[in-house]
This record gives sequence, C-alpha cells and structure tokens, in this order.
Amino acid sequence: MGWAGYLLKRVAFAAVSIFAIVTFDFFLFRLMPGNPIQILYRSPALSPAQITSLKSQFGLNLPLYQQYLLFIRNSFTGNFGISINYLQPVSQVLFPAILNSLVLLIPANILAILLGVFAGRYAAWKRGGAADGIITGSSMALFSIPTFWLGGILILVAIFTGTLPVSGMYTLGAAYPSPLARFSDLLSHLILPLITLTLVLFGQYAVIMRNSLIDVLSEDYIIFARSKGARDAYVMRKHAMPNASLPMISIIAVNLGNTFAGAILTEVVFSWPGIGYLIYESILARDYPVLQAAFLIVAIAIVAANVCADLLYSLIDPRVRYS
Amino acid sequence: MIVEIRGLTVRYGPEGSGVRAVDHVSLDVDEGILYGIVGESGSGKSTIAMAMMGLLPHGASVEGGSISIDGFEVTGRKESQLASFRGRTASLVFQGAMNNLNPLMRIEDQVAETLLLHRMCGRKEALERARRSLELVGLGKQVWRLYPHELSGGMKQRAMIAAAVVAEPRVLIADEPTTALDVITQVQIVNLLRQLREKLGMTVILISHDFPLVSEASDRICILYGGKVCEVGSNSHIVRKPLHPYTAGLLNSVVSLRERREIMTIPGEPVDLSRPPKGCRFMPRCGSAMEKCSLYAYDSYSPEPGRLVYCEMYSGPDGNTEA
Repeated sequence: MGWAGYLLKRVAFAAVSIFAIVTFDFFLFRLMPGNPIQILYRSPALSPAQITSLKSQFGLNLPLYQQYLLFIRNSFTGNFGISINYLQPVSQVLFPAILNSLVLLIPANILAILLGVFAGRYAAWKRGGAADGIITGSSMALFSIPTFWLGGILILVAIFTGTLPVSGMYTLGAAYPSPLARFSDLLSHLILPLITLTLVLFGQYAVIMRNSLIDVLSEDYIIFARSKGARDAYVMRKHAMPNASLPMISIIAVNLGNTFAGAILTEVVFSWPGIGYLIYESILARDYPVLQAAFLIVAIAIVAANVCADLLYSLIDPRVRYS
Repeated sequence: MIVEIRGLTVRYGPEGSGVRAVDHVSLDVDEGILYGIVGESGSGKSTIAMAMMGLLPHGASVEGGSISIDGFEVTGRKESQLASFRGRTASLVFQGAMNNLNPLMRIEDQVAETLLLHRMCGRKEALERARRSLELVGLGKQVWRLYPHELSGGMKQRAMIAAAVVAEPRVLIADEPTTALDVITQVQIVNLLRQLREKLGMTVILISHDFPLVSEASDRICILYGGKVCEVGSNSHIVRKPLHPYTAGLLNSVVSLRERREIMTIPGEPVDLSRPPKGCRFMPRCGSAMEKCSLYAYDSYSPEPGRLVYCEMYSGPDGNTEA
C-alpha cells in the first residue's frame, strides 16, 4: 500500500477515535451522579419555559439512544447548549477561551521546542562534558518542578520587583489610547505565564532530544557516514538529527494535545482566561455543558495533533510510509 | 608497502589502568593484495581496523606506534585531516546486517554521498557514479532508489561496499563484512571483494574470525591473539604449514563437512587483557609451552623467507631475530 493509503488509514483512524470520544463524552456525563435535567432545574436563573425549551432542544425526555444521536448531531454543528454558570451559549464561552489559550500555547510550545532541540542537541554534542551536565541537570529539574510552584515563585519575584503584571490578560478597567497600547499590555501580561509554560515544557524536550541523539549517535550508520569522510557537524545535521527527531515528533504531538488542557495549572496560577482556566472554573461551578464541550475540544485537539505527527513522521521515515 | 603499521598500541580506558586491546602490533601490507587478518573476539582485530580509519570509539586511544596508509600518517591527526582521508584514501566496510545504512536515505544517495563529501564532482555526476558503483557490486537499477529497510542483509552489505569504493580508495578495510550473512552470501561478498580489488586496483584488508573464509580469499594472512600478532605469512604457507601453535590449534578446530575427523579445540580461555600473563600470551593454553616462554619479549623470528612468527620455539640458532 502506498502513501495515499497510509494517509487514508490514519485519517480514518482519527475519525473513529473522535467518534469514540464523542460517545464517551456523552455517557461520562450521563453516568455522573444526578442527571442533566436535575442540574438544569437546580439552576435558579432559568425559567420553567427555558427549561422546557432546553429539554426539547436536547431531547432530554427522549430514550437514551435518541439522546445520543442528538448529541452527536449537536456536537458536529457546534451546538453545545447553554452554560449553567455563564448563562450564555457554550460556544460563546468556549471559543474566546480557546483563542486566549492559543495566544499563550502557540508561542510557549514554539519556544520550548526550539530551545529544547537546541539545548538537547548541544548537550548530546558535548556529551559527558560540563555543558551536558548543566543542561541535562537543569532540564531534569525543570521537568520535575510542579508548574504551580514555578509559577508561584515567578509571581513572588514579579511582585517584589513590581515589574510585571501577574494576573489576567489585560489590566482591569484599562482604557487604551491605541491598539498598540492594548497589545503591549497583553504582552506584559503574557510574559510570566509564557516563561512558566515554556520552562515546564522545555525540560522534557531537552532531555528527550539529548537522549534520542545519543542513542542515534552510537548507531552503525553514524560510524559508516564518518568512515566515508563526513565531518562531525555534517553527521549531526544530515544523519543524526533526522533520525533522532522521530521520537521527538511523537512526544511533541502528545504534548501539543496535552498542553491544550494541561495549561490548566499555568492558566489558573496566572488567571489566564483560556480553556484550562475555563475548565477549572466550570468544574467548581458544576457547569456540565461547558465541561462536556471543553473535553470534546481538547480530545479533538489531541487526536488532530497525533494525525499531524503521523503525517510528519511519514514524510521523514520511509519505513512508516510503505509498511 | 601501502600500509605500514609499526608498534601500534591502543588502550581502552584511562592512562595507567585500562586495557591494551592492541599491543605493539606491526603489519606490512603490499599494494594490490588481499590481506587477511584472523583473530577471535578480543584479539584486537576490529580495534586495528578502527585505528587505521582514525575512528576509535570514545575512551580508546592510540598509546604508541604509527599507522601509515598510502603515505598518510593516521595517528595524531586532526579530525578535519582524517575526514578528507576517510572514504578517499581508505574506506571501511563493517559488520551490520541491521543498521549500517541510514534508514531515512535512499541507497543511491548514500553511495553518492561519499563523492559529494569529498567534493569530487557535482550532484548529477555523483549520482551517475553511485549507480555505476552499485551496478559494480551487483545491485541493479530496481534497487537504486530504495530505502535500506527494503533490502536483504546481503544487498545492504553490497550497498555498503558500493559506498565504500565509489571514490576508488587505495585501501578497503573490510571488518567482518560477512558476519550475520548466510554462507552463500558470505562467499559472494568475499568474491566481490576479490573482483573489486582487481577492477579498481585496490588493496583489501579482510578482517574476520572466520579462518576458512579468510584463507579462501587472501594472499597473505596475519593471525592475531590477545592483541598481539602470532604469525604472518602467505596464505598457502599458513594453512599448509602453520608455525605458531595457536595457528595450528585454529586450523584443527575448523569444522569440515567433507572429511570426517575429530574437531579439536584449544583448551583454556582467551586471554584476559586486563591481566595478561607474563611473556607469551598464548602460553597458558599452549601444548608446546616451555619455561622460557614466560620471559618471551615478543621478538619476531623468520624461520622461512616471507614468514614471521612470534614464538619462542623458533628462537634457536636458525631463527634470525628481526625485532
């Protein structure tokens, strides 16, 4: 089977995964103590008319299998119902939060990957030396430090020096003379959570890059490339890095998906109004419609990241393409 | 003399302690011959091969002696000088049914790489020459654009040989090139090495533990034991009339399918290089050991023209010391 077949298989597999996730997401909230109707009744802000309209909209009086089919249809059309906590359609709560998360997650992941690859590569290059010890040691430390602790320390430092805002995305109640001023306010709020998330991710990337490279550097084809007259820098660039990047791609894919939800700690510590913070707030408020939708979005992000990794993998590694 | 090794001593581990895997080995190889080096594991044969390429692994170092290949002194060279020597003056082929080729590169590109590394020609011509080289080793055009995982072990070994000889080096070092291949393929590979020597006018150094295979192909043979040379002579001399007791023991322990005779083994254990015995290293296992063997200082004796043996049995008035 050729490449097209391989791609088709991965996409089909992802579709099946997402279908399974939707199913799980549906039953998870039906299995919880209580049921959606009770939750809705308990919310004092809803009028009986609203409840009736909601019940018919989500078919909550229908048999379970019909509810399930309805849920699937609503999931695909982006209709996740009304937030119990915010009293707004879930999509209106969720999508701004996703955007806010991306503002933090994209630069953090790019920085962590670049720094991790660079540091891991340097450590592998100087393996056994002082630079390797420093990089590997500090990476392991960063890898192991709890996010909330690192964030807390940074907040302490920021408060003591009075330099950077430690909470939210924008200064509360600020009026901006220009879009540029608004943007620079956003940047100053971004710095601390960005540093926290980057450092937490960086340690893992650096350690994995280093170890993967050291494994590859002891392979026979590295010795053979050198025996053909390849210099060290060339061997590293042309032979070691492509081979060592294969495990990195898998890890990055898993992490990309996970940071989507896993930035919860960073977002909560810095009150960053992203999807992680939203999940945290919704759990406290028992806001099931939001949670249900957020779980689905996070799960789809993880599946999508894995499909991307599979595609990238197949571009680099012919063994995956043809088998 | 295209290869001259004088008193080569290679140590693994730190100075003072550590193990001498190769201890004062001297070899002379005439241009254009197929020179066989036979030794069991731990005899230092692969270490000699790697030292000749300037590719000793981390932790191994040349403690003394010199290696001259086509007038180029290998020891004490900078990495950049070695890089322009490797693949062009001397090439290496080694054991590796699994991973001797980069799994992410096409076969023809890995062969052409040798030419490109030495800037011997442009990309297009390099590819043409690579394909000619692949044809020379018996790999037709259906193989050129494949990846290593699509090739059998024997084909991979041929591809490796093609990459090693594409720049037409003066010396080809083949370290266990047939190990892990089936017997038919073994003979084919050895025959290929002989053909290449004639077609390209190379000198081939064939290193193996497989005495019959080496004697099948070689003009001259050197027997190693415990990091020391036992004896050197023409193929027919060594096989018909071995001088060193170890060589005789090796010949007796060869299994033959045709003639039924009792297989003899050499009693005892291979020498422990961290605690080598005083005098002759083979003495503890030798049936002809004498008292003076423990004082033997590895002088070489030449009881017949064109032969060298490192054994006290030949220290009589007939043996002229060459040291």
